[in-house]
Amino acid sequence: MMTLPDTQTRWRCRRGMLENDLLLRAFLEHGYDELDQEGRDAFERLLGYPDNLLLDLVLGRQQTVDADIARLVPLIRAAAAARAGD
Amino acid sequence: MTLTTRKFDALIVGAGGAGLRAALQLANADARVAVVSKVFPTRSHTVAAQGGVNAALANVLPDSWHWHMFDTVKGSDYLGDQDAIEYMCRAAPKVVYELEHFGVPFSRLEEGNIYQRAFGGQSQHFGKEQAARTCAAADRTGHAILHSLYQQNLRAHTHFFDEYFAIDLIKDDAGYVLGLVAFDILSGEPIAIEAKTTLIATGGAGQIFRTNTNALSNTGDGMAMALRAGVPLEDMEFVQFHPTGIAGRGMLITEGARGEGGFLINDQDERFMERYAPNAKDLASRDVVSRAIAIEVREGRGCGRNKDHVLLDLRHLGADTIMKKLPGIREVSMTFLGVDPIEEPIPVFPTCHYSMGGIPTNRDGQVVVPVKDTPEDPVPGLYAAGEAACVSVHGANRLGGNSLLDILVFGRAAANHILGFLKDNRHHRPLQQDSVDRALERLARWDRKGEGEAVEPLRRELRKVMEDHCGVFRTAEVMQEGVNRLHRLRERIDNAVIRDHSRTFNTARVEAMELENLMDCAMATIVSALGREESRGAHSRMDFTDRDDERWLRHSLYSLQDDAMDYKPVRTQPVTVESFPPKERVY
Repeated sequence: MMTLPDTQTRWRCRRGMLENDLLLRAFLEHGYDELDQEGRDAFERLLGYPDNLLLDLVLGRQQTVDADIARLVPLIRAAAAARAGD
Repeated sequence: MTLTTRKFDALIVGAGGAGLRAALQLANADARVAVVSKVFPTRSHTVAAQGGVNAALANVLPDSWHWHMFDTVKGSDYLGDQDAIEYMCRAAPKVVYELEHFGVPFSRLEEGNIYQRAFGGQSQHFGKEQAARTCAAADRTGHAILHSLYQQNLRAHTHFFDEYFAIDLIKDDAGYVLGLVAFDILSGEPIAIEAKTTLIATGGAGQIFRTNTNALSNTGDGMAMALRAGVPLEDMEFVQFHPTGIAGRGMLITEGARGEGGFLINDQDERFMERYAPNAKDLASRDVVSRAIAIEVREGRGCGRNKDHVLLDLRHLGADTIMKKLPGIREVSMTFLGVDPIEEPIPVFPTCHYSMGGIPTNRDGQVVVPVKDTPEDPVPGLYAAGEAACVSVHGANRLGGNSLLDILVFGRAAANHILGFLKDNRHHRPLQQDSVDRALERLARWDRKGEGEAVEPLRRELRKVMEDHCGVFRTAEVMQEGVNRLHRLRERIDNAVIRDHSRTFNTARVEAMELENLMDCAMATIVSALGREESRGAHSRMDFTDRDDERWLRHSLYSLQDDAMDYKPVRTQPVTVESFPPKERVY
């Protein structure tokens, strides 16, 4: 899978729900840059999820069998927590 | 360079529920229809609507469209147009059954009928017993509707311009709207999309306020395009706020938290609601709680480093109650603030939720403007629906469950009128080049290099000015200061620059153009609010505390040119039934 350029990824973090906007934007600022290729590919797959499912996954209300995406979830939560004090 | 052009019968701007419902109606009637959306369609904000759709199906309790109409007129604080409200309430059962056929999995009663919830503001027998009118697909009604409509549109061969940003409408000297100029965010290339009819369905402009519940994409793009095309915006002063949004983030903390016994405190640990509402205290109505919070902050009793919020304290409820009864609130607070409400209070501030105002339309979705002595002359070829439009069914205040209904009923109604228009207007009118050129200039303006302020700080400042000067605490003095600040900000935005001038996926350029749209919507909102010297529905003035039907039972119209205000009468005459005259609104 081809990884999208950063600006394109950034735009696809624009979501239908404010919660997802904030979670994903925080991750772009704190964490995305450290991802390896596998992690970035997994992030692209996560962006393809419908908004409600994406939020459920990140908030831990649902689990995914995609192990690479599952590894991203705590990183996204940590990024949101890092922004929490802003 | 030759500009790429494409031609369609109908062009829809925005791929939320209103746009997709209209597109489907048109595509199913074999019209050539295209949808332009700056984000992938299923990432539209309709996806966030949890509540449901109101329709008098009478599946749970007795109901009638006429009672639904009464509730909507009363909820609107009598500013809603009663012909449009009658039309919407009569059409509601039909649009719900249509959704069912499109594949929306509504929650069911045991015998198989659609389940209906009771929401606030719903009554039987014109204001008597509680009604149960809201049809829902669990707590994901908007999501189910959006995905079903998108799939249906794919089946019907609607053409999608995904990730295209609409710049401006194309209009000819005779006043016809001929489509619009957009650009492909991926390549940066502009395109003229010619259409015999254009429907604006771009949603609301909640992002004009710092604290709001809206997705980041809700920047009022369609409203601002209409303004620039000479169309005024109607009733923009009416903005629905929820008292307890997470401060600085915007997400809602539902009334349930206060219902369970949570209370608000200021920086002196005082339960200040006891002063504002000695009986109801923290469970006073939304507008009372919102204003009380704003006053505490204005008078210097706010909390935090910037003293810009108050605190919602749940600690006394204990860990068991919070984990059992308010788990969602705890989860949101911990995720977005790092605050566990078992141990710490949650910072909150009133959050903007919904714009009642928008592009003025009649009940066929035609955009209407005042021309000489006619207050509502249709703009040929131009339509609007959903939160971007003001038809006006919500008047001064929207009832829960009526926003999804609005987008479905009037998306469909606009499409039906468009089909008639297409029969009478079979050919494209000649493209007016100077109108195209103006749109292209607007795009090229952001290629300017050199010194200038950056976009993001200006956006932050705009949103803060609106929160401080046009939020829930409104007086002439406070708002006039806000208008003055916005005027200065407008000049600074005119001179702003972006650093990235690349073509491919230049999101900086998109965000710059969104800022211009936010600016126009913000000015429309504050100037309209300053003009309306009364309190009605969601518009609450500290210096004009009463509703004034004699002077103000009329719609506001804000025009971009000179920031001028005009007014037009409310349509108090329904289509077939008797009018509901204004009464004191008591629940």
